[in-house]
Amino acid sequence: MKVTLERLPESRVQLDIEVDDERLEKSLDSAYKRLAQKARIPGFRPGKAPRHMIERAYGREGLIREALDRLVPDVYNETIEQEDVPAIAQPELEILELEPVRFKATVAVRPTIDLGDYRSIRVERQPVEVTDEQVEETVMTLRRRFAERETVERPAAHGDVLTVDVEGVIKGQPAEGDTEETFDEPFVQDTDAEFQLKEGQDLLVPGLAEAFVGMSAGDVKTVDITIPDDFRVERFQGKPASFTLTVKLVEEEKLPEEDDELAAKVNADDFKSFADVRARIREDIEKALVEQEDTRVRNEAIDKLLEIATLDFPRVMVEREIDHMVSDAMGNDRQQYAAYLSRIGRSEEEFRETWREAAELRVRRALILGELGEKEGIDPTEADVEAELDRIAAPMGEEASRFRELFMTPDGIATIRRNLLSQQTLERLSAIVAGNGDDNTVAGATEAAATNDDLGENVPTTEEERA
Amino acid sequence: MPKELHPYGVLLRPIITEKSTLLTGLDKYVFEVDVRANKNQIKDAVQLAFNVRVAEVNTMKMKGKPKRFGRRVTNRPDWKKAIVTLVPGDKIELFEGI
Repeated sequence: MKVTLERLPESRVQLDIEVDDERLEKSLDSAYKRLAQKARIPGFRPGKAPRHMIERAYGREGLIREALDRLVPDVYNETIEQEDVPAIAQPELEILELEPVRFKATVAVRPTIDLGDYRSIRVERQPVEVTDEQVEETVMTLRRRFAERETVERPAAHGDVLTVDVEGVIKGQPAEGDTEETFDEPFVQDTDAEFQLKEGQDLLVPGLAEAFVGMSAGDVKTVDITIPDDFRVERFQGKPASFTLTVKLVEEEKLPEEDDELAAKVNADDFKSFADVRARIREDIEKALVEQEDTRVRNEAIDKLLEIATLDFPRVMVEREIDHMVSDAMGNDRQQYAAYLSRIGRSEEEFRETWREAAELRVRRALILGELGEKEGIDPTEADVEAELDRIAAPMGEEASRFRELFMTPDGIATIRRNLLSQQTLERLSAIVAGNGDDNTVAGATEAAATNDDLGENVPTTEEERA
Repeated sequence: MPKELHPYGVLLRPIITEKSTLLTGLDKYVFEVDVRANKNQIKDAVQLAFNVRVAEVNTMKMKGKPKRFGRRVTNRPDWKKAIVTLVPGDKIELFEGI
């Protein structure tokens, strides 16, 4: 067997294989037997015709072709094994010659990943700071949520909640020869619409909201407004419109005071005073910001990782990822998928193409993080899985034990392990870019966090991280 | 009285079937021959055509099979089959194909 092996880009290998005569002869023999079974030659029962009769009927070439059906895959598989080719997909086979039999096999192989000097990657954490404004804003939102409304008999002002009827028409343009009648076209009709008047607010068209300012309950008013040119319905753009506004109810919003009473309303168990609420709000915002920063650092780290790493991966991996993404987005209903394609007027190829870039990035990230996990020896222990199970089940209360059982299947555990693996890998990555990646001993989530605490670095572990 | 029959007109076609292939192993070759040919003529014709030595010739007359055309029944022509045994070691290439 003469084999030439050549590496192609996109992580493919091309094999040029020439089959030994001896090997060919053996497979011709079995090809003859197969062919004889179905050959109908006058004077012979099927399967009884001698080889030379078969060869005369089909020609030597025909016999060889029959032999190839089995010979080529067999030889290919042997070669793959012999040459240690880490194939990950079905090969493309091309017959070059029949005598001697020579064929070309092109197959995607396991991607090659070189992470480069990934341990030198550093990403600087931005300090997290909660401003008073942010706290105030949240406090206001909270007060609004507990606001009470009181009907008032005074002109509406900003901040009031109004219940109104709005009827708008586009003023018709009588065409030549038409009578004086106007051709008003209904534009909007809304009854009992409730909204809060706010400064600089746009309601359908600019200026409409402002028109309500100063109206009291029971007032009716007509305003003329020209529909702006950037209105979303094209045929209305630039047309003059007339709105009839009826105010039915003006309510003032009474914001509750920032006192312990409000604190009790929010959650009597948790908060003794409003200062507690404030503290919690600040805490929550900080937590969210820290998490945001975590994500940013992590994403930047991954970007840098992608930058210095050298990757060579086969196209099929991207294709498979596109398959996944498409079926995630479209579900498994082929018919619906086809209907959707025809609605957006694209062929399946074009549609898939729109996913390609994202799919490629996902493949790259997955490959790189997988390699990183391997390099760093990250391997979730049984105890980790147990802990994770407890964590997932904890909020289930009484159902917890039943819930646990649901996950105690080999599949469920595998899923949890996989999630843990990527989670721990990302945590390790965070540690590395913070300059704490040097202890190569363990890769547990808790350990990573503990190390960070020891050094006084603020690298909290994010709870949720999906692969 | 031997009839006027040219040696080239004696052998009509080789019979190649499962059975005849089996006989090849015993140095026997089967032909359809002219019904008028006798064993001697067949022997001469085979020796001439294939340049082999013939040890023995057996012949038989095959009755033509009745064939039906609609309502009419007719007979296929009768023919003569000859099994020619060669001197051991001699071969007729024709039967081997190629």
